[in-house]
Formats: sequence, structure tokens, C-alpha cells
Amino acid sequence: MNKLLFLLYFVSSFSFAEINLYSFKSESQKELFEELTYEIGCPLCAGSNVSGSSAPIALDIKEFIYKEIVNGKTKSEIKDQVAGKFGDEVLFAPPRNLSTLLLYFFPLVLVFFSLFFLIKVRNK
Amino acid sequence: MKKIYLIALPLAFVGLISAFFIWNLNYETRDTPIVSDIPDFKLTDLNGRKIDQSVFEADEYKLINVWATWCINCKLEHGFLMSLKNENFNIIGLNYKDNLEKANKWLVQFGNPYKKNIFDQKGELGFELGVAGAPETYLVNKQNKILYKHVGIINEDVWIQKFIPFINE
Amino acid sequence: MTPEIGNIFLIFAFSISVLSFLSATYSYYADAQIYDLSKNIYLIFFLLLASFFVLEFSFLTDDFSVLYVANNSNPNLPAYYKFSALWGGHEGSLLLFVLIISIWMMVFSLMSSYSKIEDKNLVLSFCHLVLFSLLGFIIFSSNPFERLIPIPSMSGTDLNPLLQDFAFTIHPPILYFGYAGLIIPFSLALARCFNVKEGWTMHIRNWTVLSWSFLTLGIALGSWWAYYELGWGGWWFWDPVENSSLVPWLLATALFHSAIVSSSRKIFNNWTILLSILSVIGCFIGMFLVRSGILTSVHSFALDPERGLILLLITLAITLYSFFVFFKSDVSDNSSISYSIVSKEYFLLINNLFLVILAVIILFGTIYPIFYEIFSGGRTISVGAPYFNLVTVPIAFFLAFFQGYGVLTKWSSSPNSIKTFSITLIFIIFVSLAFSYLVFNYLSLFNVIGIVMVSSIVGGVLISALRMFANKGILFNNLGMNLAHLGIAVTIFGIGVVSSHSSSKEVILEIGESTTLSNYEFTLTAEDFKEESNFYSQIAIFQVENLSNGDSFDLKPEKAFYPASRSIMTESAIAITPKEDVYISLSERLDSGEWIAKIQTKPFVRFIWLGSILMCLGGIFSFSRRLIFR
Repeated sequence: MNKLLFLLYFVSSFSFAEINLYSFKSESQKELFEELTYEIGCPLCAGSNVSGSSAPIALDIKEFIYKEIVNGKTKSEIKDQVAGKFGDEVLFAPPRNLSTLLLYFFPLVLVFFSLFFLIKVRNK
Repeated sequence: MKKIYLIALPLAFVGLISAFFIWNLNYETRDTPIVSDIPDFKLTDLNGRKIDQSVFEADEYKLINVWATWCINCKLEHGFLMSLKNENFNIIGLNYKDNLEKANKWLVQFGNPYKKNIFDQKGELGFELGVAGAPETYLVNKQNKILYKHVGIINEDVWIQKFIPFINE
Repeated sequence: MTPEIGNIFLIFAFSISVLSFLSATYSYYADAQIYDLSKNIYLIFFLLLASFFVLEFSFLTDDFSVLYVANNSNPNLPAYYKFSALWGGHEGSLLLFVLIISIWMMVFSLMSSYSKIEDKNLVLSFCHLVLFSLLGFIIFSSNPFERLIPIPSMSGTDLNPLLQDFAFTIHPPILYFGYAGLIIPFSLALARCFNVKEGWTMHIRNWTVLSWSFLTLGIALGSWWAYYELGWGGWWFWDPVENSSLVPWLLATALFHSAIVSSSRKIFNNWTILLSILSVIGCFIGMFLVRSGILTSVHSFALDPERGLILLLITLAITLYSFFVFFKSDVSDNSSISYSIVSKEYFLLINNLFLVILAVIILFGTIYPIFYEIFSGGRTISVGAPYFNLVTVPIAFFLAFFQGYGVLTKWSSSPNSIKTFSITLIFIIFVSLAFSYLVFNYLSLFNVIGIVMVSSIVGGVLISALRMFANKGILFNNLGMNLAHLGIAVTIFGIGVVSSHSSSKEVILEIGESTTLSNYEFTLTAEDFKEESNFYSQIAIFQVENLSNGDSFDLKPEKAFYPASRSIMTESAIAITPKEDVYISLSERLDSGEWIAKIQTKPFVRFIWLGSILMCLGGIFSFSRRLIFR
């Protein structure tokens, strides 16, 4: 579900290697790159992800992500590395740990509460 | 829905978040740096001589000042850096993504506050430190741990409010 | 003319507003008849307009002795951008905002008639409450007429180049018309709490719909602007400022739907009052978030904690006052009404609940970093698009799904058959799946979600329209509603398609080289250079050929340099075809002469804003129709 939701771009498959700035051997690597550059933010420009920023640091981070993917690192490893240098703020998908439990829990609580209310009203 | 709930719940929500806002507005964050250890590196200084992490081994507080000739704000903090240098503070420059010739000319023209200067043309060391741009200044303690990272211009006020508290600990 | 005159006008307007509020309050409690307060409103409007023009005069004559002008303008700016620079910063935009509030008050005063003057005065008095609070804030702590002494010799800083754009200049005023307009239903609701019952639900419905139309248009303009200006094809970033506009929009949507129920069935009265209050509080919280610097954003204004605190206190005061008034009121529902689950009442209840939940979730996610910072001892996190997409899409799905049917349900005063309901449901699901399969050749979860949402709404609109024709003569009865609902379907369609079928590629090209993406071939043919009054730019010229039909066109993205503010802007080049947008933005030019660029195709992205226009038109149509046929 996450993959589908985060899949914003398809990268077209045919072109010369030196023209393509980032070329990957496999589709899953391409997808991983798209996901990571979408979910990791540029530290300087509030709100932009590295995919959509032309700031030098954003390009550096993109390069880094590219190299790490080619080296076979996993998504969480790469995210940890980038956050380890630039801080948790650059991760746009907040980490799912105990302290962010409330964040992910809150919508569920609201939905359940409203469903409960809708059912209760029904018995009028 | 019963009127009392319609009032109490939103009121509680608004009240709660307002409390947090007020707290936050008054809260002075103590920015703990993300990277606390100086990474190993092998680069050159502005005269072409090899330089590595041993340049930080000194039994005193040091600053790493990230600067570049393309950085406008760096000019604005230069005066303060010179005054720090006159107090014998150890400032190590990280010349970030710059041109060697321009950098040297700049120091000759405006003055050199740095004990040593690392020429990080590709921004490799900067990347490992978490540098996002210039100017940035890092406070390093005697045991070579990074205590504080300041993004932006450093001046008298910033020095007193942000850096001195760490030095006095 | 000294700028101080502008400040004097503000002070007069403030005083008149305070006096109006006091006299209306006195009039109510002493049961005494005071003259029609609407005359005061014309005066306030003219004073604020005059103040606005005084500030404009300072801008247009480059009067840098005024601090605000010095901070937001530059002699090299074209005249139009000097004019719009007035609302490019905190103080000036607040001035524009109160001016717009006074316009709404004036229009409301002119267009509504009450049998008792005191009733109208009371409604207007609550508008004054908001007006003088903001005016006080402007005069005493965010004054645009503050002087800069000594006058700086430098030529003023530049207006942020991002803001030197037509769409961006009209986006705030239109958005402000949306926000300010919500003061009217707010005042009507509070007046109802003081027993002004004459047509209150109908008025709330009508005036909310009109404000909502502006808000919709304003938000769409912001999204469209971000798409072509920020340079990389995104159209919504879940940025705190964007969210601050979406939350009131959602609440306003719930509000006028609730008002419809209150009007027709005399239930949901408490909801309607509550939502009227919450919409305005939502606006204030949004204003606070954007202007206090508590959250950093591309759009943030003043970064001054002290001002933020004052704004927050004003918000709290208005919140406490409104809730107190609501609590003490006798607002209640007609208890003889009961409704089944296949009735319009129930569907609109679902609608209300889900819209409010969506608003609360978005607000919560936006301010969560602040909570986290407090409880984690200073660490910060970001809550960005991945989170918001994850939590809003499922709720939006159900909202769209129920919207389709909701349109077809009847009030519980006429029977709703469960049988008809189930048949329609199965029919629509079948059509959705078939449509998805035929048009897109495959069923992915994302596609199905989008298609079901769209088909449900479109199905509902079509069947509703068919019914309209069957009952000849009531052709325009629900035209506004159907148009607006259709607009939502169009927007969802655009969002769905562009999110799952865009393609993109990052390339390094030298002059003469080509690359292909989707069914287009891109060739970098030449470079160019351009110089304007306050910037110069490098241009890369691409020739784009559509390989399926041989059509060919040029795209010329630019990198612009603004000396005054020393910033670099990326001007992307977009080609609009019926099926998709072709989008090129430049990253950088290497010393070797090669260009790094990002090319993208964005299918049906225009539908996102086309849908918003339909929504806005639907709202305006609905408002004007109801006003004429009162």
C-alpha cells in the first residue's frame, strides 16, 4: 500500500546511459530511488524533498542515495544514514517508533470514535 | 450530539494546542548537534598540503567555520571571526565547494581568521558533518566532540547566547 | 503626504469599530433602539480603503522611509509588483485582510434585510469583534506605517523573486476573501445564540457557500502557482501554510452542508453553530501558525514570537467567548425528527463527521512537530507528504464514495428504499471496475480507489441531473450543487491520474543531444540569454517532438538570477496538451556547457484546477440563485 501510494513517477526505461543522470540496473532499484528522494527532504529548503530541489545539498543527498542504492543498502539503512548526518527533520515520513505512536494512532482513534457514534445514532 | 460534548471536545483541543504553542514560543531550544564525532578525512589545505582529522587534536576549544567566497553572509560574519582570532581562539576553516585561487585571494584581501583551512572542494567532509550550506559554525571541545552547530551568521549576540553556555560548562 | 495619515485612518476605523460593538451590545441589553449600525460600516470601509491607498502610495513612490516598504520593495520592481508587494509581507497583508473583512461586512449589510434593526446590528457587532481585534493587533504591534529612521541609503531589499508572479499576486487577496467571508456565518451563529433567529440557517448556508467559493479558488491558485513556479511539477506539499488553508476549507464545507440540514429539517443546529465558530477559529489558528514563526515553511511571514503570542491570545479570547455564548444559548434540535440510515440526514451526518475528522487530522499532523519537540527534549521531526497521503486518502475515499449516494438520498420525510439504494450501489461499483479496466488496462489498488471515487460522484451527479430533467421546470434547482460535486470528481480524477501515471527522468545533455521520455523526444538545440529590469537569465532551448503524431514544439526553461536579493530561480517550461503537460526544469549548467535537467510528463494535471473552478462556479451559482429567489 505504501509503495503504491509513494509511487509518483515511473522512470522511462530506454535512453543512453550517459544521458541519464541516474541509471539503475533494476526496476526495484529505480522505485527505491524514487521513494527515497520523495521521502527525504532538502535540509535547507523547508518543505521540498530532494527530488524536487535543485539546491546543491539536495543534489549531494540525491547522489548519496543513488550510490547507496547501487551498493545494495536497504531503505531504512539509507534513511538512517541521511538522518544521522542531517537530522530527523529531513525524513518526511516520521519514524514509526514509540514517540510517534500518537501521531499514527490519533487518526485511528478519531475514525473509530466516529464510527461508534454513527452506529449509536442509528439506534434512534 | 449532546451540546456539551460539542463544546467541551473542541474547546479542550484548542486549549491544549494553545498551551503547547505558548510553551513552544517561550522555549529556547538547545540545539544538540546531530553529528558529534569528527569523521576521518584526507583532504588538502589551501596551500596544497595534506590535512586530516589530526588537525583537530588540540587541548582547547575549537571552531569549525564553514565558508566560501560565493557565500554573501560569510562576509558579514568575517569581522567577528577576526575578533575571535585576536583573542587567540582556534578557528579551523572549512572552505566549502569553492575555488582555490579565489579562496586564497579572499583571505589575503579581507584577512585570515583561520589557524588552518581545509579545502573541501567537493563538499565531502561537509556532507559527513551534515553541512547544508554556508555559513555554519561548529563548536568542538577538547576531546574532539562537536558540542554545538550553528547555522547562519555568527556575531557577538549569537556568540554570547549560544556558544558561551557550552564553553562555560 | 506623510504615511502617518494611513495610521490615523486605521485608528479611526478601530475606534468606530469598538464603539459599534459597544453600542450594539448596549442596545441589546438595554433594549434600546440605536441607529442602524450599517452606516458605520461604510465609514470604516472607506477609512480602511484610504489607509490601503496611502500605503500603496508609499510603495509606488519608493518611499523607503517606511520600514515595511523598505523591507518588501525595490526601485527596480515593475510598477505592478510594487503594488502587489503591499501584501507580500506580514503587516501589509494584515491590512489587506481587514480591508476585505470590511468589504464583506458592507456587502452583507447591503444585501440582507432584517425586520428588526437591532437584530442586524447584533449580527454585525460580532463582525466588529473580529475586526477591531485584528485592527488593534495591526495598530499596536504590526503597524505597516512604521518609519525607518534614518532613511537607508541602499535601495531597499527586493521582493522575494518567487513572489514576482501574476498568479501569486492574486492568490492572497482571493484567499483572504475566502477567510474573511467566514466571519459572516460566525456572526450569524453567535447572533442566533442571542436569539436572532430570522432565517439564520439559510443565511449561514448562503454566505458560507460564497466564502467557500473564494477559498476554493484561492487554494487552487496557490496549487497551480506552486506547480509552474517552484520548478519540479509538484502541486501540493502538505506544507503548514497550505494545510492552514485546507483546514478552514474542510470546516466550511461541513458548515454549509450542516446548514442545509438545519434549514430543511431543523436538526443539526448545534453542529451548524459549532462549525461556524470552528471555521473562524481554524482561520485564526492558521494565521497564527503562518505568522508566528513556530513552523518554518516556504511561505512563513514574520518570525516574531511576541507577535505570535498576541495573535494566539486573541484567538483564545475569541474562542472562549464564542464557546461561552454557545453554551449559554438555547440552541437545540427538533427532537421529533428521526431518520433512517439511508436518508439524506444520515449521509450528511457522515459527511460532517468525516470532513471534521479530516480537518482535525491535518491540523494535528501539521502541529505535531511542535508537540514532539516539547516532549522529546528538543529533537525535531518532520511530518510530511507520506504521512498526510497515508491518513487522508482513505477518509477522502469514503467521503467521495458517500457523496455519490448522498446526492440521491431523500430527506427522511419521504421514504428511502433500501432496495433502490443497494441496486444503485452495485451498479456504480460495477461501472467503476469496468471503467478502470477498459481505460487503464489494469487494476492497481490506487487506480481502483480513484476510479471508484470518481465514478461514485459522477454517477450521483448524472442520476441527479436525470431526475432534474424528469421533473421538468426545476432545471436549475440543484445546478450549483451538481456543478460543484462534478468539480470534486474532476479534481479527484486529475489527482489520481497524475499521481500514478506521471513519468520523469533526469538527464545531462549537451547541445545537439537527444533523449526520450514517454512518447516524446527531447533535443537540446540551443542556449540563450535574457536581461530584465531586476534579473537576468540563462535559457536552454529544447525541441520536443511527439513521436506518436509528429507534432513538434519548443520548450525554453530558464535559470534566473536576481542581483538585489542574490537568489537563483528556476523557471520551468511547460507545454500543455489535451492529454498531459510536458514539463522541463533546469537543475544546473555545468562548466562543460552541459545542462542537467529534469523532464516530466504530467497527464491530466490541469483537471485538478479545472475541478476547482467548477466547484467555485457551482458555489457562486448556488449563492446567487438563492439570493435572487429568496
